[in-house]
Amino acid sequence: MGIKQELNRGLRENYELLRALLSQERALSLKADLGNLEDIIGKQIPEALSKNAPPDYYELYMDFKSEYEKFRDYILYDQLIGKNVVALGGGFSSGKSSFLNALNGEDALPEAIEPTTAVPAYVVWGEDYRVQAINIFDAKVVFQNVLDIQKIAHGFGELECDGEKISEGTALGHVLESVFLATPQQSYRNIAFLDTPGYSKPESEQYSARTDEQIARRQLNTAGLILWFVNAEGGVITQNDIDFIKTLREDIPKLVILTRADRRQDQLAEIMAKVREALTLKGVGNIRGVYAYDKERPEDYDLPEIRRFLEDWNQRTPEPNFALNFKKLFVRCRKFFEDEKNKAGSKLEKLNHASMILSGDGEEEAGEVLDRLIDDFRREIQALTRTGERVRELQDAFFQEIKRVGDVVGIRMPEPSEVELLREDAGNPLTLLRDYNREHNVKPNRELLAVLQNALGDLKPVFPQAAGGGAYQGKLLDILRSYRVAPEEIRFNDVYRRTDAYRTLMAKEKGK
Amino acid sequence: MKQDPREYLARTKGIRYPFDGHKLAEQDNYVKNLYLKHLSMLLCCGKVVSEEQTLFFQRLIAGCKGEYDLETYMRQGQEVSPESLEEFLEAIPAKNLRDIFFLDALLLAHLGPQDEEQEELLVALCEAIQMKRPVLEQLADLSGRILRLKLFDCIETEFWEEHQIQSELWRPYFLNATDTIKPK
Repeated sequence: MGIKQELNRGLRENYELLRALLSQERALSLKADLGNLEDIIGKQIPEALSKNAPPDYYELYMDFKSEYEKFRDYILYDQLIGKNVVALGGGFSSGKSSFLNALNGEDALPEAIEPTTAVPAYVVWGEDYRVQAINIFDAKVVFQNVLDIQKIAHGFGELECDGEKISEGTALGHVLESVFLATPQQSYRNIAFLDTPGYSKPESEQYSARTDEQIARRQLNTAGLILWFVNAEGGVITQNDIDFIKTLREDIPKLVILTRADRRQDQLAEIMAKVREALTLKGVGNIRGVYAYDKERPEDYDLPEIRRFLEDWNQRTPEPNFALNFKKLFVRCRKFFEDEKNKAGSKLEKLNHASMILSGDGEEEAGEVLDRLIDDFRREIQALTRTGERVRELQDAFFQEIKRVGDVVGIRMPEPSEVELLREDAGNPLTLLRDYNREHNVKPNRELLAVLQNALGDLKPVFPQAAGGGAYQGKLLDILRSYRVAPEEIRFNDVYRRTDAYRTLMAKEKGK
Repeated sequence: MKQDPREYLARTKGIRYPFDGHKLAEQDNYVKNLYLKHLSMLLCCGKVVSEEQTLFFQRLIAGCKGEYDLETYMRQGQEVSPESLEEFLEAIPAKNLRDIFFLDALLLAHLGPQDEEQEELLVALCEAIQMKRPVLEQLADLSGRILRLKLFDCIETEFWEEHQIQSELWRPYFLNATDTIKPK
């Protein structure tokens, strides 16, 4: 091949890759129209809450948006549907990707998609290798060659001619939102690993928009299990790591994995004990274990145990918690308005009481001042009610729409009417009351329980059979059935069935 | 979205059978919300919420013209905080709603399957509000009469003299009681 042809081929390949990479054809529209959902999220919710919102609204809203992005990922990468997402988190270069390789066998995650790409990558089982990505225009990019990812990450545009580099490459990883890899080497068919770029502080050298703490947190919070990686060479788990883990959702179980264990082999037991102690002392909840791992000799450390843990996870039926996570924003906002209304209502009550006393005492001037205050509170309550109702409307509209989309793409979502009753880990009212009684030195009175049990223990309520009760319908049905006339006994239409008799009857009628 | 009319009728049934004349209806929204939110705690701590319990609660909300729907009150019942509990325990006796609250709680509890935790919650509530044993006995007796639909037992003069419970407590639970029942 001549120099010119070689150059042309290189340029054409680069052009084709760039064209695919910057495609703006939204693949999403092929499956389900997300326009209404995006209008609710991007426009209607911010509008409704522009004047008054809970103090943590920004965080809630961003978490909501990242949950929606995960939902969108499920639509785009439909192989994620029905999988348990296990996210890998930790500091920059803490050994996440090499762990994935050790877990699944050599090169399950090609070097090209190792962490330097700084793009969150889903890794699932698939019969064939398949590499896809979503770009910043929400378009799906399908790569024919896994090396294309490497080009994008490190050396896009690099050209060689006759063995000589004639142009430098540039990294274009930032145009990708996420990468999806299906590989036959991923051993857990019901698990989708989500390899995150790792988090870094703004002052760190590795800091970028992708490794921003908030973004890393949101990605991890969408998972069902988190594997947190700590470099054992440091000898401890850093305060930064502890602070970060504490801000992750507590209901997500977490494993802490110490990497590069070989390098601190002598003190490993001590380091692991220290890490466990630090996590307990700092009150980090839902840690299911601290394990050691080294990529050079993985089987000599805790990899077999981690595998057993993941195997168990692989057997579980995935419980998509989209609805519960989406619900949080709406419920927290509504709860905020309800609490604010409650506070205003309590003050209004007191003011009304004071106003009555003053009017009784003939204190008209003071009474007028109070009445103005009362009006202010009433207006405040009305405004809070309106916003709360608007949020409820948006909640219903959102869940109706997402149910529609879910039905189209095969993601199970509850009916809007069921959403309100989805339970988070709620507090126990009995514990709350007992704590109250203890704090207020209320003496327990076990006699009361006996009273309740004696009076109503063997009660069979008839109440449901009365009008309005659940068994009333059955009673009505019994009544209707008891009056039912057997079909052979019905003579009502006989005269019309016998035409002759009908004619006679009509003639008689005419003759009258 | 197409809706099955039977499903719609079943879901909204309680609204069409309100407990008219309930004492809570006279209160403002602030008190109604406190009352219904804390009453729904009882449903939240039970293992199963029966159809009869949701119906009862819906009828109560409809009768009292509660501000929110059943689902919202049930959600609020899951989120009760120590502050709101304290507020409730102060407001209920002050508004003379203690007996009716306990009556509702007893009725609600016994419309579902027997649940030890619910019973313990009722007892803890009695203790918190410092309810005396004779009052609880009377309310338990009354709730039994209502649940057994022993309407005429409720209107006997002796019953009222003995129990010193006002008829306004039981009236809402007998449909159209104000039209048909005339206590002596």
